[in-house]
Amino acid sequence: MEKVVSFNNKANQKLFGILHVPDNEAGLETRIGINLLNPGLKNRVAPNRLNVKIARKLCEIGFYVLRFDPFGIGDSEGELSCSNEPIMDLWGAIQRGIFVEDTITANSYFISEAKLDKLILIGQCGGGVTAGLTGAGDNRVDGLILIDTPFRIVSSKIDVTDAVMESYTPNQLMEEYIRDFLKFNWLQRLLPTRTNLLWLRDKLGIIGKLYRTRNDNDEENTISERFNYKLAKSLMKFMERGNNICYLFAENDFSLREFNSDFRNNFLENNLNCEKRFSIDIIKNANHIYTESEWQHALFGNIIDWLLFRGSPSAPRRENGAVEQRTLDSPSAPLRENQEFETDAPPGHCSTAPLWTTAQK
Amino acid sequence: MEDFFFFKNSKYNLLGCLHRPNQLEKENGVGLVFCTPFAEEKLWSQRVFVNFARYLANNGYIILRFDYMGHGDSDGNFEDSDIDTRLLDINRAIEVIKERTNIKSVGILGLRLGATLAAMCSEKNNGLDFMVLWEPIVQVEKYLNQCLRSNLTTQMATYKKIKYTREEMINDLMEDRAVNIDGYMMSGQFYRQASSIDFTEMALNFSKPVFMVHISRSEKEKAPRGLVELNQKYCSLNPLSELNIVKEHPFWNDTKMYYQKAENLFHSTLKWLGRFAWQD
Repeated sequence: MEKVVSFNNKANQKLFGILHVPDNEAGLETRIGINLLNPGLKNRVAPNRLNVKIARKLCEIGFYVLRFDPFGIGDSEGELSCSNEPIMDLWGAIQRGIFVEDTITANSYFISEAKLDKLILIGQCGGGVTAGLTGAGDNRVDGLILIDTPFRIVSSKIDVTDAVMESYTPNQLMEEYIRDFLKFNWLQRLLPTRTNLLWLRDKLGIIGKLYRTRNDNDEENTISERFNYKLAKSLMKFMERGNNICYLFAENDFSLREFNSDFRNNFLENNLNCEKRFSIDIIKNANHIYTESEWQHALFGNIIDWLLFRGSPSAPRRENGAVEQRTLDSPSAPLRENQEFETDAPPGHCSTAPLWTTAQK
Repeated sequence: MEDFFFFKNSKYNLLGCLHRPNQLEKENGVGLVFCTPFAEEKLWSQRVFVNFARYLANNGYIILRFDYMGHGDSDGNFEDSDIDTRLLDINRAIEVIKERTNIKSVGILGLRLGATLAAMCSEKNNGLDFMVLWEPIVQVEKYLNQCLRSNLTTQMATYKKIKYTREEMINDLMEDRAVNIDGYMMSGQFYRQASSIDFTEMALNFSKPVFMVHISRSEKEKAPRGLVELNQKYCSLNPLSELNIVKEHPFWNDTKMYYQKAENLFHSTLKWLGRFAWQD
């Protein structure tokens, strides 16, 4: 069952959302709620209805799911600013936590309305940042699934060239451009059209600037000036409290590079208190909004797999180190097209004692 | 005042939101049903629709916003929706606003493909008193071909080459296989129905006032020929119809600005509604 819900935030603005209530026949022994956050400036539906699809899949299995719009987004009251603002600046504001208070309010409403035993936050992109920041401040949150979460704060004042430069060493960028040049209509690229000349000028400009300012040895453990320390600290705090985090990334998403170079290398893998508290899964070929059905199925499969089998704080330590990283070829993901998810552990996945168990009704 | 509810159309639940003035005595007896655009354009323009509904409600109007079957929070899958299901949903929404309120006249407002659907609906629905078309798509086949380009762009970004050409996509659609547009599965049925819509070729019958808007980054830009011709058809049926050019960013696309309000568009539309909407 899906019903429209509303509640007021601290500023007394009415926030709207949809509550997915599982049928009695489905259901888990424990009442688990998933607060599925809106991605950045998009509403609770999300691009290509991704959040609706995720919510309906999870509800079929027995999870309660809330999708709500924070203030100024979707159907909710309030405005993010008095006029139309550059998207980059509003993203930056989200990365600093403007939706955290509303998310805590939504958690309170959700726990009380659905009488939850456990609460998990799932967020994609900006929603992932909000989930991470909220998890640190709200002790009622038991787990996080962060999808394509950016770790560098954006603003309209950032030069795109500088943003590209932060993510690459000169040699990496040179290799990338040569690969592009050879693969993409390379014969056409040799023609001196205006577009081609502009393309060449831009690329040479970036590479030249990069060689002047950086060298390949700089790469190790260099953290971007735009790194979101607040988010990093929040995530570490959340794990130190004994909770688990699932990091999911689309292979072609910019956030994976930020995550690896800034957060993973410098924080995540250096903190012994947090080992075995996280998993990292990468969905092969996928893009930021998971446009292909097979990428979506791989995403759904990962989320469900983590919620049912891998998200348990009591799960035994894995044999070879703490971090589990898998790159999934989408077709081999646990969910197959036009098939309902089976609640038994999918083949090849570790089946540790889950935090919550499936009810056999 | 905003009231969210699900209403039935056939076997589906559709999400609706009714906007009314906060004080009942401010209601002017005029209702509007909003028709949203296609696929991701709906998501990008959603906040503008919400704020326009609130703006109109503050000015006495009653507005019903809703999600078609397979869209937003409504039941169903996108791939199961087509032009016919959307038109049925619009007609049902018109019934719902009449059932739930005491409006004396009702009109529809649409953006992009939503405006095209509104115009299609007006040809058969005799209960409409006026229509507002924001940047309607006059020749839908051309528009869908542009949409197919986004699939090619995704392929280039992912695989650095085209594995599935536009011709192959069209062949698949004609043979009833769905094609992916930014994550939305467009069915062959939808493609065939939609691509046959061409207002430059169609004779129109709707004889009530129509307010058409071309949204442009510059006020100096001329309206496209298709819109001008469409407006001429409506003007020949009702002299109160008009075509305006309004300066706004195309907020239904990926823009650099977070578009919450389209002030010029809001003012010009309200002004037009103020002149004509409640005339019997």
